[in-house]
Amino acid sequence: MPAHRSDFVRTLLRWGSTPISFKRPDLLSGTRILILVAICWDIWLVLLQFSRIALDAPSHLADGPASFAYVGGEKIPAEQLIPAIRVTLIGTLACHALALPALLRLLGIVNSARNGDPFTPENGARLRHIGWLMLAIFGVVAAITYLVPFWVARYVFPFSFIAVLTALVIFVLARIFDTGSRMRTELQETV
Amino acid sequence: MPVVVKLDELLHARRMTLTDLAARVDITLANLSILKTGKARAIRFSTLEAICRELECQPGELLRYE
Repeated sequence: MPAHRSDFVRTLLRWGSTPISFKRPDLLSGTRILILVAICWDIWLVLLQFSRIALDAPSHLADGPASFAYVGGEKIPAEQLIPAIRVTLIGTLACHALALPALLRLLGIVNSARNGDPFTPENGARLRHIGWLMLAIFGVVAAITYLVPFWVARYVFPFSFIAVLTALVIFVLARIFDTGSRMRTELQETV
Repeated sequence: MPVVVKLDELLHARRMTLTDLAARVDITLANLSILKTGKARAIRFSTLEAICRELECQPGELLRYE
């Protein structure tokens, strides 16, 4: 009986240690494509917001059937609504404009990882820039939420502290990449 | 660097080239060049052992503190 039990355990251990071979999808290529799509989408949104502000779209939005123009069953007067919409559009434009350099830096990090060398001082700097840009976006969102009545902002800006937490995580990641870069340099100089 | 690698002298004494040594110790020529020119920051014991074995020397003959 003991011999049969140990054979069973040995078989289980052998199954557990056998590597499963399957074709791993190229996640970095997929991520790169997603980032490129996000960059194109962001550029489109920047142009769209700019055109809306430039073409005096707020008056059309104020007159349209948008639900945010009505509070408690009453339509908000245009002289109150239009400035709020304009400020919100400018804030949205600023957020998308700040997101574009962040996406470009993220693309740089993914490209370096695809080249097999992600732990570089440049990537540490890129991550720090992304962190600061995220904090700037959060600042814009906070300012807009403070300046604009909530019945306009709630449809555009979901105010959340997750952005601040994410920015802090990115700063920590930047420090990790800096350390990794120093370790990589030391390893390269070790014979 | 205060620690100097006397690889040139030992190679000359053993009538061996850096390329020969690289092939014998299974280390790339680039890495051995880094060691020879004093640009290396650290050396592994396995590398030191392999070089001393092929050059038939002691670590103290290969490395000197100045």
